[in-house]
Amino acid sequence: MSIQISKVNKHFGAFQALNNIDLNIQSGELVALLGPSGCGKTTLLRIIAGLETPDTGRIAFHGEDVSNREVRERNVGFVFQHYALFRHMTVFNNVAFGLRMKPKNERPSEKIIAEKVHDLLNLVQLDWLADRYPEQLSGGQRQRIALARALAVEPKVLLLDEPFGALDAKVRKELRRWLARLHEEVHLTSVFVTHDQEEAMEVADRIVVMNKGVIEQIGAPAEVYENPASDFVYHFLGDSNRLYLDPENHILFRPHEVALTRQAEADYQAAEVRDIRPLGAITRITLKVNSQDEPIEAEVIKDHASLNGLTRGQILYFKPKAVTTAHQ
Amino acid sequence: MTSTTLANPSAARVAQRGNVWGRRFLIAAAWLIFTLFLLLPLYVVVNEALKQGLGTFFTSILEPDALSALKLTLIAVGISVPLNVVFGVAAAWCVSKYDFKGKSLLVTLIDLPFSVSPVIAGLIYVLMFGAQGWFGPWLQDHDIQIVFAVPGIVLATIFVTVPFVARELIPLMQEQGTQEEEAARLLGANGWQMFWHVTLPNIKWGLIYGVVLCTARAMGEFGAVSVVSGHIRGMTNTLPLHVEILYNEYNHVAAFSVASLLLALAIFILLLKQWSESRINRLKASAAEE
Ligand SMILES: Nc1ncnc2c1ncn2[C@@H]1O[C@H](COP(=O)(O)OP(=O)(O)OP(=O)(O)O)[C@@H](O)[C@H]1O
Ligand SMILES: [Mg+2]
Repeated sequence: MSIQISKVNKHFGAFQALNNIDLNIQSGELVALLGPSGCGKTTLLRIIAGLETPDTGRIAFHGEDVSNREVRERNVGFVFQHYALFRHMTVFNNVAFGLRMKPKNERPSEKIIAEKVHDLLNLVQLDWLADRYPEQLSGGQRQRIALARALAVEPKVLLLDEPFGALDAKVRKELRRWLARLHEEVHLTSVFVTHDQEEAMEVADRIVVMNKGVIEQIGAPAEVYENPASDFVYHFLGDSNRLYLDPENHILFRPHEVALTRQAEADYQAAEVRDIRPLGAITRITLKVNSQDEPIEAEVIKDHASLNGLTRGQILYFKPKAVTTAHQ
Repeated sequence: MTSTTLANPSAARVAQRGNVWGRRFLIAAAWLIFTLFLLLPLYVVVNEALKQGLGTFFTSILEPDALSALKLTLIAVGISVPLNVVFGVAAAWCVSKYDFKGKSLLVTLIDLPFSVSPVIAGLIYVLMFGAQGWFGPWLQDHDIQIVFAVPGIVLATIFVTVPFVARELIPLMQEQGTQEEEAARLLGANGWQMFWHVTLPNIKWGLIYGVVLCTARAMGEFGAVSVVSGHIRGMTNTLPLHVEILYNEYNHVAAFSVASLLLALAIFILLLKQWSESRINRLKASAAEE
């Protein structure tokens, strides 16, 4: 099911949380809403689900206006950032909830419900936890149960609010890959919120970059990374260096787009080595140029020739390789 | 902390011994006060009641006027407590799940019966519904008696017990937020299903606790009820009022017998409260583990 969001505005009192949002999501797509804290990601997600009403604008599912449709009639699966599992119900009953709430004539028998719940629990690989209560689960397990619960009613759209936000880095990585695989299998139109650019790049078909209630750019991960539409997008999608050519003009480039040598060469600029950080496959070097206070960071493979015997305080020569953007 | 205890065991023990005496003194004082001001009076009540044997005790509490007082007390409890539950849940729901103008005013108003003296609460009803009151003539024309009758007693009881359930539920529901309710709606539950399957189980123990407190107060209320009752024996007397009448007539044995009946009800309610409180604490502890 495709989603069309047109000219959506939302205020909380005098504060404008969303400003003229236009966004079309294709059927079966996995879209990431990416942006810093407070930029309106959750608000947009809640408006799509019907938990919040926009001041103006409309939401359509598959071309059909759902602005006036109640939450329970939108058939949206929603995974909350803090899971919101029903604390007094077992895992099994949590997942079965949506099926049991159906009107009598549509409600499956308890036997079919049980089968379906176990299928879903198998899908999230947690069938053995069926009789536990939410408080007896780890964060990652709760997360997956919340997902199984949302999938139980066979939603047309799946909305996930920072699904991995509260988890540690390793579990996050596992779960996000698992989500990407799951999406390959079920192909549900999905929107997920994140403020982690790496997560968005890794999982999403398209990324929507938001800032202060407006959409800065929409595009495939490679597209927004290679051709950022604004300085904001450039900075938000990865580490970046700013090198001033003169007081008015600067260029932007990423740490891995820096060439380094030990000897002075044409087009290369001298800089003092302030710090050397081995980070596994690559090493990060912090450089200080005389013309500006802002340091320059360079990342090169760990056995790069220029690193041989390098110590702090020495002089290195650097040159931005392909400068990606030169915004003002 | 452990390491300092290990490093200097004797000093730690000395400090602890000091603590032990201080603690023992405080505990003893607490028990003394408790015995003097609570247990002793209880003992006196029961002792007086049984002074002339069990026979007199039972005659006193099975006497028609006493039974009618018991009945009226149970009626007042039976009407005011359910109304209180409905009002309390509705008010707590509004306050904790919605944002609206005048919310803090509403919360303050809920507390009003706590800050107004019960006697004044009773007088308000007399002023409104009494023969000389605002609605007096109209009520007389329609042959409706509120003050000095059962409806007045019920109204006064409702007034003084209004805050109990709401006060108990508001913080509980505010703390729980609205996310589980939202999740239920997203999963297709209608308003009633959401309330029944999600909200109610989450507030169950707090609600029971509120009901217990409310029941205890409704049974024991004296001031407000005394003003609107008119003390008509066998008709508008509740148990506390009946005790007072008997006592004023120097019928001590009967007064204390009825009092111990009231006492037995109170202790039963207290046990219920203890039980629901421990349930709430257990729930809170498990929630805190999260
Ligand atoms: N119910 C509300 N009342 C008032 N202001 C609100 C409300 N909900 C959100 N806001 C404001 O709207 C803005 C956007 O909030 P939103 O929750 O959408 O941010 P977000 O992008 O999801 O941030 P985060 O990454 O921190 O979750 C914030 O400045 C927030 O303070
Ligand atoms: Mg958010």
